[in-house]
Amino acid sequence: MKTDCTTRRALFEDENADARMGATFVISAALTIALVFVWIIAPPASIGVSEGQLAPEIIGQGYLDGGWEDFQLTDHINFSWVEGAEGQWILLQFIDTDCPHCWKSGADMSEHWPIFGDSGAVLYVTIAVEVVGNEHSRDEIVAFKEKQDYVGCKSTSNCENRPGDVHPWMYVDALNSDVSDDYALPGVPFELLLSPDGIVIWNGAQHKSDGLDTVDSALRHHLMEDA
Amino acid sequence: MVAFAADWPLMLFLAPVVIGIFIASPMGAPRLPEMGEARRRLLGLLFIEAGGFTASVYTWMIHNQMAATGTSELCAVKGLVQCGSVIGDPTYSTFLGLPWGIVGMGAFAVIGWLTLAMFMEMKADWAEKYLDYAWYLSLPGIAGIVWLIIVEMFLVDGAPHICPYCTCVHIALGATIFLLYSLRKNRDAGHWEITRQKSKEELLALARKGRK
Repeated sequence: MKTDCTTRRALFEDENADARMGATFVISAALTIALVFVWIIAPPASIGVSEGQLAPEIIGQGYLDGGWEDFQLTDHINFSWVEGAEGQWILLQFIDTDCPHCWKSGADMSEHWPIFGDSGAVLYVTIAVEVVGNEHSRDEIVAFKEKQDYVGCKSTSNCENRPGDVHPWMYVDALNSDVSDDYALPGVPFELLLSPDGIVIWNGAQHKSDGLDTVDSALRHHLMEDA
Repeated sequence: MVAFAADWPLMLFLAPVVIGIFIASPMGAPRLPEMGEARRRLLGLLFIEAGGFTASVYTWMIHNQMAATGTSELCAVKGLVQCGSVIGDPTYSTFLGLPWGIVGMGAFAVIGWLTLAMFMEMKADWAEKYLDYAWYLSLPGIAGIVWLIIVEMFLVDGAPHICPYCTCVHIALGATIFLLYSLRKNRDAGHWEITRQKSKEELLALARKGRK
């Protein structure tokens, strides 16, 4: 008995699938070539908070010398800096004015500021974020920095009682920004030391038991021992 | 003008766009006498999309260099016509966290796939539907173009600045949207030809030739 095979015939007649498959191959090839070019000529920058990555951008307003002014992290980065050359390092400290540990860290910061910050070797920047509670304000940020008579720091304490001295460096208002997400804050206070070219050299969360778990030890290690 | 002409990457991306516009326009008809109007416009569209795709990839590369080093060797970073202040802007150079270059590359790849599939099989039952899909996918591009021109003119640091590669992408997208619109209009009027419809004289000539 003679049987008809329809499968082969259907493949010849139904060319719709072929056209779409052909288009898929062409577009896939174009995308592959494009991605190869990008990765060879200008690969995406490794941006993040792990050591060796470029610190994410921070844009906002910072309080310094009695007034608020624009702040942009990249304005302070020297992308052409090379290891061993002169340059200003950057210490980023993330705090919440209501957090008890941030309250305590005020004294630690005051201790190493005269050695590294006052001399200009390190640019100190404190970034105020909202992690604990939700009743933060710019007034509270200023009061925390300047140790002013203002009840609200550490939730119910008077800011003038904060440990440490008045902080003479910039405090950036990041209460309503994406900085917390961009920096994937593991908690507060959280500190990062950046080399002058914006690369994270020290991440406090990555050093728990190697003797480099404090800002002071990290600053001494990278700026004094390396020099 | 000399500097503009010396900008060979820009010329490289603009060339397919210009060729595509030429092919799709009535001026392209005498050059491709056997092609139907719809097919010729689809071919022109493919050229334009190729130009938009490659220019988008280039802007993504500039973005990557700007993010990593604060400058780019692929485009000027100072002056009125430059990319640095536009593609390197930390606030306006991304859309939902993605560089605009990736957005453009993805958009042109998807619309390009639809266009290529249509071009390869115009008589397929899905081909005319794909034209609608391409059209609807291209429409958000209008808002994108308007927004990015506002960004260039008023919002970036030191505005106004004109980013030539971004402008190339805008031109490609604008031409794509216009061509998709005209293709849909023609299709709705019953014009969806693969080959050019021959005139009576041409048909008669062919018939006489066949008799001989």
